[in-house]
Amino acid sequence: MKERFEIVGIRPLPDPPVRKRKWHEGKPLLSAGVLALIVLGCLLLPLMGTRDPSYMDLTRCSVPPGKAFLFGTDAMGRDVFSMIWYGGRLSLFIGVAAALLSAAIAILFGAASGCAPAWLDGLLMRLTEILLSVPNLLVVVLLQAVLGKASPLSIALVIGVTSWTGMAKIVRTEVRQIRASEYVLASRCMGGGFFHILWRHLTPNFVSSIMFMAVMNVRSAIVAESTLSFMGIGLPVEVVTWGSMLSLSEKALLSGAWWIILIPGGFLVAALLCITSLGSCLRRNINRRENNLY
Amino acid sequence: MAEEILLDVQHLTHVFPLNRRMSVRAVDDVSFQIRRGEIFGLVGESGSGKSTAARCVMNLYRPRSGRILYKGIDTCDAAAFRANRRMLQTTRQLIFQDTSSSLNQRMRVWDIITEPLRIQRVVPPRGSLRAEAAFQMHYVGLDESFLDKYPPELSGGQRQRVAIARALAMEPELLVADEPIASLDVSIQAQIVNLFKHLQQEHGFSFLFIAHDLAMVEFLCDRVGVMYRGRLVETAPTAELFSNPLHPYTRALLSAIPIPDPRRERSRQLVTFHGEDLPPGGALREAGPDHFVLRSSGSGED
Ligand SMILES: Nc1ncnc2c1ncn2[C@@H]1O[C@H](COP(=O)(O)OP(=O)(O)OP(=O)(O)O)[C@@H](O)[C@H]1O
Ligand SMILES: [Mg+2]
Repeated sequence: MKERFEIVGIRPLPDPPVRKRKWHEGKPLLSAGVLALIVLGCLLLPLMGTRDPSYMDLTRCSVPPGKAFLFGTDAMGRDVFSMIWYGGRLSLFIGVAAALLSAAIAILFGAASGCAPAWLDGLLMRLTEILLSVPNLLVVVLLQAVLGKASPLSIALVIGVTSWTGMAKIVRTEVRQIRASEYVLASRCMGGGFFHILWRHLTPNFVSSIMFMAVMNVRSAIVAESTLSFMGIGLPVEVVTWGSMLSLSEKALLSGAWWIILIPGGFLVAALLCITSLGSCLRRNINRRENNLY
Repeated sequence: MAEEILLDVQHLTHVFPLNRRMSVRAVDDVSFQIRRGEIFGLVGESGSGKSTAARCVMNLYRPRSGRILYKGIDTCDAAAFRANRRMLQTTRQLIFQDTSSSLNQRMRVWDIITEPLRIQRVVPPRGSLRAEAAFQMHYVGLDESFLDKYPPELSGGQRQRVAIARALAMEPELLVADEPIASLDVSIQAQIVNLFKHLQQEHGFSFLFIAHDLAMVEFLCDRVGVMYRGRLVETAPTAELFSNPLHPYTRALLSAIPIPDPRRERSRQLVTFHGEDLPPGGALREAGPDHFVLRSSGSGED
């Protein structure tokens, strides 16, 4: 029986002479490099022989940048150079953790809503709209009050819990489009459960559209943490992050100690710019999907 | 042929609501049986409800009324379905009509073919899942070089064969094939039809075979059911139906087959059939051995 088939395969053809794109073309090398430097610096900080960032040397406060203190010291006599790396560690951790948490909530919530019958879907979406319309700050302050003393983990939790709604809406829209498609029906027919279908069929389809948002969430989580700390409702001053360093800036402004503001601010802005540029590059690549023959 | 009835569809009705006022009776009081090891063909014009009937059989739609017994289990009954879920999901497989949407474009071919094995956690009989996929691909006449391709990179016919390979991977007992060969060229059609014949004869597969092509149906099927506007108007063994069609719609359908002889083809009479000719109601009456025709309750012999 089998022999009667002519087995068809792919015949190798000589490659047409196309100019090969250089590997780095269209890739945000500069951003990736700077971000990598910052991340590596934060991760490898013990190897760099930094001082204890929380050690206060009140005899040498507000020392300008120089030989002894590369980036100077702040109003409490802490070494800004070590604070940058330790603080970056926490800031990046908060950003990534909050983004992951919000992505996880968004995927589960969006997929559940997309697969649910119409009335439940409507209910869940109204719920997200209510959440969207309440000012985030209010929710954050409320959650902070419930959770008690702020720690990096609790800040990440609070930011993550308040930033998933937009993404959930996108996931839900995509899922509603895909769930009626025949390959999902086929998978259900073969006995695939909710999580199988979510993981194998739905996620690969919407992951590209939420990737950009996820990266941008890292950015906004870092910003949110800085804002909260700046306003004094985030992490306490003893916990060093880029945000909490900036929270000292009013005093520094008055005393003319520019390095206390500009150096952490510069690192923050550089990291955010790099993340943004990576994110938009990601979006460009995804939009340029391989076209399909139909 | 064994007389055991594998699939028994009784008075199946499925209605699609369109809006508050209107609805479509896509399948209306359809009854047929498929015996073990038999190929049952379902023919009818476009929109006559063949795909809908097939999907009801596969539990993709919940029918408005009627019963579907598979191996004596009422698959429309939630409790009975749950109790026999694994058996029902592994021994019945569906080949969809439209492969551009029934294969996930973001999965590789070998992933697609082995998906049912993964879901049911079947230990692949040929070692690895990849080897299993390669085996099934050979079975439907595809080379291993396609294993790592994505569906959009394949032609329509190649995709259809991937879909068939996926259905065969579970070695089902009942294969519901919704126009599996409509998008293939004639030589491949013949190969696939021969493959189905082989599966039936050597492995005892049963088929619900939905098709437009009456010549293929005549060659492949043991029994044929003719559908018209959601109703089953006639069912009979293939030879009987083609030689002695009783229902006017069946006659119209058969008269539309071209004859490969110009002189006779020119003198061929096209029988026309209008929807108004089909009175609502009525039931299937036995007209001969194993030959049932839809007759309205009033009228006698045709
Ligand atoms: N999801 C749906 N919603 C509403 N109406 C539907 C739906 N699916 C099918 N129908 C209607 O049900 C009827 C039967 O459709 P079905 O797909 O079963 O036809 P078919 O016999 O398979 O046709 P074809 O040979 O073209 O595949 C059609 O009139 C169609 O418009
Ligand atoms: Mg159809």
